[in-house]
Amino acid sequence: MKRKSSSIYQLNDMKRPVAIFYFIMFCILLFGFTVAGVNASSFHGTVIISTTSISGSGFVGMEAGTVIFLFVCGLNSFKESFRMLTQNGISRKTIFFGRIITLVSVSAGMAVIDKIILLAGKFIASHMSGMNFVGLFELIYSGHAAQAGAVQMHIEGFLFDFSLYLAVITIGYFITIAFYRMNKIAKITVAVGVPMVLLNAVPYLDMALLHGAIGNALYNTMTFAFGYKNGGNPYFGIVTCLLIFAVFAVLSRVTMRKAVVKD
Amino acid sequence: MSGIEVRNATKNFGSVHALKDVTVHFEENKIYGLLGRNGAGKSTLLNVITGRIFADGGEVLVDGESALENDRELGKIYMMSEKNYYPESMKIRDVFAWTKEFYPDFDMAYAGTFAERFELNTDKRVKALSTGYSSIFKLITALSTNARYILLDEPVLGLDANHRDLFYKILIEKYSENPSTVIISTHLIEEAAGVIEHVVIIKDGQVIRDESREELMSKGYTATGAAGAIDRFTADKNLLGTDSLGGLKTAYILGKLDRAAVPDGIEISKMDLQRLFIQLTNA
Repeated sequence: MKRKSSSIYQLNDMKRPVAIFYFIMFCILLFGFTVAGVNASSFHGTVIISTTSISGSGFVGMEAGTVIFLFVCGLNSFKESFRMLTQNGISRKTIFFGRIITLVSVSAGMAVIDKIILLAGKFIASHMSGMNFVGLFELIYSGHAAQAGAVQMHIEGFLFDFSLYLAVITIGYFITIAFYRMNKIAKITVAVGVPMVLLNAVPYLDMALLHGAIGNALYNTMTFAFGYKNGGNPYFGIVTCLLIFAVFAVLSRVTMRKAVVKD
Repeated sequence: MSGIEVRNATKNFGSVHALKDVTVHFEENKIYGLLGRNGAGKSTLLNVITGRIFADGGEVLVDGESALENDRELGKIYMMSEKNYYPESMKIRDVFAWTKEFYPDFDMAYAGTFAERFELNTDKRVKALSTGYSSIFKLITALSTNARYILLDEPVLGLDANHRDLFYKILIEKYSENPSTVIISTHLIEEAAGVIEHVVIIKDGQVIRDESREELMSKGYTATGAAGAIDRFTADKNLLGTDSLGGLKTAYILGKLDRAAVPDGIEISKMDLQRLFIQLTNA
């Protein structure tokens, strides 16, 4: 009963931001298609992400917007609901359970919506000359997507989007709990120190002392984890994202186990 | 055992010992006054009971079961805090609706009536409420939950005299209709004294008194008279403290009164809870 209530509350908490996100997304699409329709020759599209050469204009990898949105949602999903639910006699383990249900549901729901947008976008774009509508999955696994049938591509695309969304929102959730548990000095140290170390110190030391060994190891790990070493196999990426979700979910539970309500 | 049992609870915040081996039993269907000076450990004790913070030692049992991370037992308790833990953008009527989700016995009709009596606009958002109305909305929520154990931490914070009076009236009405355990932690002892059945006094993180109000009141008395006469009268008595005004002195004495031994010129009266509290916690 309490698990259900905890899940319902946390799901409800996500409703409004998700609705606002898709409203903005809808406006962007509407604007893009309208402009493209009115002036097809001069329109060069709203390219959200374009890491590959796609001729013409259009929307490419719009799911990246969802990824960023979900990461931000993850970062904002602890303090307020923790206080509200603790106020209402809900234990930490039930809050966590409700959050996991929420993360899975929201990720699955948004993956479905994004898939619908992608299909609708492709349909509209197919009736406009020089217009492209390419999903994130097709962009990352272009070789695999080209060989797969349409149904297989969309099913795999859905699974990839879902697992990627789940991983990203859970990372955000863990970061916010970790920051909640820290005192002011620790927060500043981590907020400043981690980016400094990862973006400046490590690359500098890697190049100066290790001749790029860390960079190479990272590249090799990433290409393996996302299936590029296996001919662009998307299931590697899906499993990797699910593992990231599992690891950060466990870390989140451990971190929030002793979290106290702060004034 | 029914009720809330706190056994040997200790809690330190750095070098501050907020609770020192506190053992106390809040029985069913009684109104408790949890009294103590600022920083005595009242809120810490309530926060430990509700699991908002963790005790460093000891345990809390609700109806004989550990309350630690126990949804069923925690669900029997509702704590109204001095601070607001509801989302600031939430409307009051939505707070009521959500509370009903977590406390199925929440009485929406009662909450609505209560809100009308206090002239609380339930379409307002939490952040739009003044300090007084913030206390009122939390009080309405607390009393409408019909939880078995209702903990009120500084319930009348920011309330004007009329609203304080109305609150105590409503509390008595509610308690008469549907008895529950109510723990009132407050500084305004004089006003709360009328509804408190049992008193728990905390001083420096330790429980120094845990007895019924009647029992506590019967243990002491006040003697007023000329300073010299009072000094002679109290010389062999357990003196809690004194107040002096000009040549007149008032002594607060613990112990049984022997009326026959009271000299002329000394007036004896009952000790009130606030006076007793001040004397007990000043020492």
